[in-house]
Amino acid sequence: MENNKNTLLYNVQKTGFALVEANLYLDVYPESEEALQYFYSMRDEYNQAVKEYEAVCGPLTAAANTSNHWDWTLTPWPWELGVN
Amino acid sequence: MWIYEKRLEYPVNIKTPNAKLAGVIISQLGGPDGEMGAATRYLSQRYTMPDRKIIGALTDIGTEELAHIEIISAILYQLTRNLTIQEIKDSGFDKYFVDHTTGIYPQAASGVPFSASTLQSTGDTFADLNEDLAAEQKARTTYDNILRLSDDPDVSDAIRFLRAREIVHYQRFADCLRIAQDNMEDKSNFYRYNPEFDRN
Repeated sequence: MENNKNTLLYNVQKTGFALVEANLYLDVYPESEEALQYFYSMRDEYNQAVKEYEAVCGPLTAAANTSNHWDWTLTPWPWELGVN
Repeated sequence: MWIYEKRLEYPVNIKTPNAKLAGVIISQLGGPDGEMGAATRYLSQRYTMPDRKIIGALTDIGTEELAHIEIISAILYQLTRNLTIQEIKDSGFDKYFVDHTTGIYPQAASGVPFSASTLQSTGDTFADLNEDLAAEQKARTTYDNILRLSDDPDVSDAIRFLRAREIVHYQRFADCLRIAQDNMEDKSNFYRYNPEFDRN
């Protein structure tokens, strides 16, 4: 279970980092079609990774809390050992 | 506005507490070239920038710096957990402990609290962007020195990630400087006027 959670989080971190990097590049090279296509493809992977993570580990943002209970503050915070 | 995402940008999992190491890494939270100064600098400078691309870079890099404040704070939190009073005395962490226990407080390794006097927002495009380039290099130097002082692979792994980000941010600010120069009509003298003030 913990291993599965780690993999799900790793996929969010990996694709999320690619998004940040492409975002910064596009800020100063907005005309780069290659960077824009990379951004879109990473965004699809990121959205998928977030969906898979949240289904098992709970909401990444408060707005993603969709169950009939307020899970946002019950799941571990990122600096807790072994959960990030 | 901002929305918080409940995850670290890069994982931090430190197996062995080490108060002495925390006492030097804290400089990258609240020291003269730390992440709190970086975020404050870029997110303050952006408002009067004359080019929307540069505003975008300052906004997005400043936002990433907020995530770096969280990574450094997570390192400090994990390095200072489960300490005994003897360990606190022996490591020299007692001088921090007496005021803050193991709470996370932004200060330099020397004990000087975080201050906006370590940064500038001049309202001058070229002055600010050159400050930003220097800031990324100074932070990279601090990370190099932390890597020289760290013998914990768990800590060094996260520090290497942060160090690499300083270099990427430096490259993006160099792109911003080029954009600002390209915007000036007079390429022989970029300093003929300040595009943040004189053309309002």
